[in-house]
Amino acid sequence: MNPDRDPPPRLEDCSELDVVRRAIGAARSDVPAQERIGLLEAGLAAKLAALGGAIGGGFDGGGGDGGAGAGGGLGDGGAGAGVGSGLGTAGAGAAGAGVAGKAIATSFAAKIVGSAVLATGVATGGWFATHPADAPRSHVAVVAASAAPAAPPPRPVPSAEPAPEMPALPKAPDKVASAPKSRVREAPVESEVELLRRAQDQLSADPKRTLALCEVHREQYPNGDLAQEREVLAIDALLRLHRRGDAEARAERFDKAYPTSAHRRRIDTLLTQ
Amino acid sequence: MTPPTKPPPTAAADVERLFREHGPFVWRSLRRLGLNESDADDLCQEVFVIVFRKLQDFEQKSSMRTWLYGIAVRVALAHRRRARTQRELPTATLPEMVATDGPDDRLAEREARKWLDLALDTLDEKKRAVFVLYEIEQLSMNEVAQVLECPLQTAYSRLHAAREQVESFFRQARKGPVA
Repeated sequence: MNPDRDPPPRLEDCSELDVVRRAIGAARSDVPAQERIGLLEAGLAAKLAALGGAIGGGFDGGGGDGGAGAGGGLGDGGAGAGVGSGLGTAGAGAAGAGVAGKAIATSFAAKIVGSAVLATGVATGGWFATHPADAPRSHVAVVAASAAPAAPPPRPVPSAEPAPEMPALPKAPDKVASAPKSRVREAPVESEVELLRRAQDQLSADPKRTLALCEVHREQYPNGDLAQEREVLAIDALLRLHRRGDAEARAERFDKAYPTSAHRRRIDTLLTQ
Repeated sequence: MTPPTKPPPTAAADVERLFREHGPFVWRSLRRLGLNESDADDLCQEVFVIVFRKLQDFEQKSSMRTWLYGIAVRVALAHRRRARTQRELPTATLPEMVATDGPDDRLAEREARKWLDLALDTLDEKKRAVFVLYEIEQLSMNEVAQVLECPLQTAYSRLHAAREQVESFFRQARKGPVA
């Protein structure tokens, strides 16, 4: 191949037209803000997790929280690994992370794990337990479902007034990710509460994973009852990741989307800590 | 016969690392290749999903950067062919672009980008890709030719034509509404 010996000077440096030089300079500076990159990265992690599960044989490849990645190549401790195991495992761990990778593959097992997660979460006093005012109505529905394992898997309870979707980034499932995702959705997907409880459970140890799980929630339940709770969790996780700017921006969007929310005080508290 | 080398592990963490390193530039190239912000968000992720699937096949014949840009260009072109989006031509005259140090700076940059996008819209997709990769992403011409899988001389020819067309657009836009 010919060597690139004498490349022409860039137009930004040599154009006679000032407007051209400026326009190219402006284009070069057009990279997404850090917050946008963070959200995109979280969305990507969720897509990779879904994809990894499918590649790895539908969540059967994992051996629990620590080794779940082996199924989808997600096992090296990164955020993707976290989400990958998160989708397939019971975050509370009490149900036995070792079986959780398989649990989501069958409705019966998933119900058992889902119930165990919820029971564990309540018993150990997770965030919803310590914030009774924040507990959503659908929480009750899931408790009822977990008490009666023969019942159909819990579904999100539609709200009379659907919570407005956060005016954040990305809608999401695209063509590439939709196939594996649809496989995931065909299985008895865990409820909103279960998903967010797992996100909550990871908050101290792995806030990045919490953030990724929040993104999974946003994609799976775009009009879910727990959109506000998800946002509070995500803001908390961002702060723990020392991404204060992103947290503040997300809080600002929260304020616009939910100006009368009871969670605003909690967000203020988080931001002032 | 030499045994096949073991492919590197396709780990999500690897792809996320690549995303952190290259994602902003992939996103930027997608924008200049004609995608709006929302589509650039989606397709930027799609690029890295493809990377996740194909990373084991990456043969290192080219740099990771050129490989990523190659995927981005193909994804963008495929999307545009599907969407057939058409920007409206401006009805105004190109305003003077004055450098400012104040809060208007960002607005001026946005305006400048808008006009550049309009200029790029006048290029066919091959010339556009060459222009974006060389002038904005600042790849070498060899890399541009690799990304677009065309002879180096062809890449030069397209760059030359694209530059003329872009400058001509701006000259015309200064005079008045673009026809």
